[in-house]
Amino acid sequence: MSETTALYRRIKRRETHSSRSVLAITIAVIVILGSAYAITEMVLHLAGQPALVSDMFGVAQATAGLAEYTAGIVVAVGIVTALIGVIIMIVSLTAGRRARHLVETQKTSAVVDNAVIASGLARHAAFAGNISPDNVRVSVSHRSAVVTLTPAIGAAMDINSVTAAVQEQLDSYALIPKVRPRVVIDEQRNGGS
Amino acid sequence: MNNTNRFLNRTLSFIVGLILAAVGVGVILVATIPQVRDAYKNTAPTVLDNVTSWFVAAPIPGLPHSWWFIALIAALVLLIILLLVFIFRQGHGHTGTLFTNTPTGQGHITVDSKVAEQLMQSALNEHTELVSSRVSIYEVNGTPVLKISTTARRGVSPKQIVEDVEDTLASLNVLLGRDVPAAVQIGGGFRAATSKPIRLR
Repeated sequence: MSETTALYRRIKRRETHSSRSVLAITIAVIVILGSAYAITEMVLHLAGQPALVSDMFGVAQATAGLAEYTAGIVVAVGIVTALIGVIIMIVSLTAGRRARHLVETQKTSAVVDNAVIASGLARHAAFAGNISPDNVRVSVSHRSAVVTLTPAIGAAMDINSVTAAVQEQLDSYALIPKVRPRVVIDEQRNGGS
Repeated sequence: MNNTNRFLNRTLSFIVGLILAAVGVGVILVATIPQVRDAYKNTAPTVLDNVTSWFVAAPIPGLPHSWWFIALIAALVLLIILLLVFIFRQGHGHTGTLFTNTPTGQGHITVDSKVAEQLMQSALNEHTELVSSRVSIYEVNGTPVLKISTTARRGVSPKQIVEDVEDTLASLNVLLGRDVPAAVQIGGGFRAATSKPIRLR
């Protein structure tokens, strides 16, 4: 049993967090292209052909002359490079949570996209508030769901019954972590349908 | 689900990020702090001369070129090969065999992944709350796991889908005579947005 528990723990973790492959593959491709370029220049040099941009000696000389260039441009390049580096480091260290929730169940590992939760809540909120589903917007994040209703002019809206309906739905979904609902009635833009 | 080496992804990214950040900070220091700038001005040409002299010191016999070029090219080719392997190692983990029975005197039984996939697939196709579903078998830590990806119709309770899938799975387990671990994934996406929403019951 504990073996299956460990298996499910691994699956759940992998299903709810990004693998960071896009970043890693992008970096790998850029490094490959850079290396391929360097190889091309060196082969051209060995074959006695003119360089595409500059041979390796030229690159080395340009680097050695760094202190001679206009400080402003060098600083700008340095800041951009350092910033890209820091962003990559942050992305590689953070968890990378995906917009998904676990569904509590004993028999399987189950994950559901936040978009699916939102569409379920929207439908029930519209039904409870007695308005068109087109006038309900729901956004689901890790721990909260914001339900925005836009009732037609003059239509009475019972916010409590909507909240109760949304809460009931959320309880029945058994999400991990729990999602708290917040129902908002949008009176700023209450025209139209 | 797949067996992408996530630690390796992060390690590679982190190292490249660190190098970029270090180079960036170094460049900023050279440009802004006079002491660093002077030190760089004095040392850089010496380093360049040293490196150039290494190149000159190791000529290929009979050619006006250095062995260092060959070595550098070889190193870069190796780097490219390693990175290509790294890229193509992403994903994977599908397995074609669901399980193999321990051999008895009468022989042994191998059950293909296709069996479970098609049984689940045809059972799930009956469910109207799913726009589509896809079933495949992955191997996670040596254990075959059923991966069931579904696209939910708009407005469906995800818990309901999980229960339906688990019911189907229970029948499959009875049929196979063993419990296959399963991972259910419920998504929305384009097909859900363009298909008819469910009616509330």
